[in-house]
Amino acid sequence: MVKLTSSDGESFDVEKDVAERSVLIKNMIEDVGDASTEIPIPNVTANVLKKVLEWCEHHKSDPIAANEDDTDARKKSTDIDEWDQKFMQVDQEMLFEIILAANYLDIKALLEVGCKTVANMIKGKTPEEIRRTFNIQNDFTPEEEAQIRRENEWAEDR
Amino acid sequence: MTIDNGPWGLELDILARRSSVAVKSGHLHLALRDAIEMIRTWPSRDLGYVCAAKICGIMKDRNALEFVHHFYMTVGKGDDPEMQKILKPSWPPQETDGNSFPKSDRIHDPLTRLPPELVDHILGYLPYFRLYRLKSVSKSWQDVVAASLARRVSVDFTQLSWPIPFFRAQIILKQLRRVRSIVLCNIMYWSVNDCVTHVLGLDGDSQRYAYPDLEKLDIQMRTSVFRNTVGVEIPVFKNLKSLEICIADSVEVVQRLADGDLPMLKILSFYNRHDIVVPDNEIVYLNDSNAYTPHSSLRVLSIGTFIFNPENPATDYRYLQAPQRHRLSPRGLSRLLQILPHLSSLSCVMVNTSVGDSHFVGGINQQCKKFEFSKWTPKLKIINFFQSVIPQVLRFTKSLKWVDVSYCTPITLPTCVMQNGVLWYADMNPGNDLGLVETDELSSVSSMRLSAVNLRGPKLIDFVARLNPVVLTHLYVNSIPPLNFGEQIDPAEAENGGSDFLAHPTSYRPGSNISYAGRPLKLIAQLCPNLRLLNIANSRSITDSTIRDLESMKSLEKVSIYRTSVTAAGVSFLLRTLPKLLRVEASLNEINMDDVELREGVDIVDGDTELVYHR
Repeated sequence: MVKLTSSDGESFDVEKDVAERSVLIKNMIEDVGDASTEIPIPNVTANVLKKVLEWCEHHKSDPIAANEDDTDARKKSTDIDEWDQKFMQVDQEMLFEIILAANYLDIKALLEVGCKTVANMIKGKTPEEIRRTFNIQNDFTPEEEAQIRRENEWAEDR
Repeated sequence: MTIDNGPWGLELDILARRSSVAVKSGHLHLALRDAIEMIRTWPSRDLGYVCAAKICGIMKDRNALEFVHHFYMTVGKGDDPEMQKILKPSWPPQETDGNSFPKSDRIHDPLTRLPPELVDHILGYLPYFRLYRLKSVSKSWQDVVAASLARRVSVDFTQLSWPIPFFRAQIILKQLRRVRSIVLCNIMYWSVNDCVTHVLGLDGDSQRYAYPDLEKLDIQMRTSVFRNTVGVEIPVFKNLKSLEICIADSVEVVQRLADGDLPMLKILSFYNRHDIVVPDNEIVYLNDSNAYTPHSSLRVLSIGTFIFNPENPATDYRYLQAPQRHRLSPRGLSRLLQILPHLSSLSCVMVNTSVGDSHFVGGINQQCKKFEFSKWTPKLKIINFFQSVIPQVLRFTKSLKWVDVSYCTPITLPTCVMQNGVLWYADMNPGNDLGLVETDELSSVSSMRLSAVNLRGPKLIDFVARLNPVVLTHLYVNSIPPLNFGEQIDPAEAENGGSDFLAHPTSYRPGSNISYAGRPLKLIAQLCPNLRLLNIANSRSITDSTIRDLESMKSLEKVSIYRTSVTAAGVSFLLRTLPKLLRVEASLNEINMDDVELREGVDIVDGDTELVYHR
């Protein structure tokens, strides 16, 4: 078992192989050499860490991708498996926190799922739909918006 | 009087009229397309430039206007004062700073909330040209997206399913100074050569548009980009590692390789409608053989047919839709190999014939009897001679790992038979075998593709016996002989052996203790105990009883038995007895799948359609 402490001081007891989904934690355990030491996670709050550990628990027996250079295969698809899709049904703030945490903790697969989820939220939407999805205010004047549309019109499917 | 017709048979003023109608009805892009077509077809006439400039003005697209001006000055006459006024020069356009990241306190916005590297990661899932639309979401998105676009290291124009004017492509590429991978295709309105040279900035002012980091270039259209730059320093290609190109003339590329102009190039693939030409007098190294040292570090060469991935040659090759594949004579090929001492993977169609054939390279009169790879390319590991007519003796080095001589014939006269739209070389000269190599040269081969080769019965067994059973894991002995491909064999004929190799009732004595008892599969099972893949498709003589001979091949993971006479009982037998089995390729329309005892973890796939069977 490994003890992890979130930025707001909450402690989590986790199985070693679950915690080691995070490359950062894995390296820390190796550096310390003693798995019983408490490991502080200063950038992640308790509610986010809990969620991240839930993901690690479910994916603890996944094979770790051997080659990191599989970007081509990655780009081909934004498919997400069912469990991960359900897992990612959280409010947007939590979604971004999970992505940031996965990036900080160096959990490649989780980072990928998070980024794919956001990409799918953007994909195939009109600018107006994107604004609604992310609650973005349109700060263009109508003239500016028409101008920028004209400039980028060529890249639209016809 | 000559009629000044454009590419669509339209005259200049009709195009101009159509363009102005399109402007009036608001179809600016259609109008611009006509204007560009006018410039393209009549570069010395002002009208096209005027139309294009006016349209760009209406579109309020300064970048486009500047490019029209640029081409008026460089391609057109460039001296009309009226035109000069319309085309206000302000070259070059502003560049985007790739590193700026705007600040915003909006919380729920992923692009402003997350750091640039994660933004790039997210936008990386979206096609490049789709991102332009995101610019009109908000001001901060406009900046973030522009910055992310500028950081992109690869751009693939094949993702565009609609044509764009080529100056667009140039604007895009100008924003991609750090780009490492470019895929160009024929979607831009300009002549192909102009397009490539302009877009890649090879037209004189090469420093300005150079992509010093460019590592991968894929030009999916016919071009002679190399010829245009002969004698010119090309900084663009100094770091190029992978080049895929449809070329007008292979001499261009071969000469570049010989000159050492592509020192980092590891993967080269070229294809073309015409033949590979490696003539005597044009390539410098051929005239100066004593002083010549090869500069090339090329590892993978693919000519006209397949791209081989040396990491995973069995599964990951890609067919290029070249209209007609290159064919190389042994002599042409040997010339090429002389300058490629590091080559580890070769894929091409070699045609060895003495017949005066227009496909011929270098005008050879004599047929090559023996071809020695070991002399030129000692590191060769992968060879693909799919559908070649090969010399009787091929000499390899002992490092050879993957061999594909499918559909090859070492025949004297290329008697071709057209069948089902496929050209086959008929077995007109049974005296000539596939006398491939000496035994020890095949000692490290792990994958042997012998599909449809001209080896029958004991000759095939004799050949397989020469392979090293310890390392051999993949064996393809399907569709032998080729003339049976796709044909139903008369059952009575199959009963008698017919022309089906696996039914030849000949005795086999390779000097070992194995005795041939009319059961070739049993023999293959004994000769190749470590096989993980076995393809015996297209042999109707294989039945439920003979398939039992595979019982001892406990390492088998994939078996192809489509278009054989095996039924549900035979498939069930394989599923029952082969513990490591993952995939069986069968003819699903011939087998009653309800009778097959399925096994968890084993896919039953239709051999022709690749559809996976689901109960």
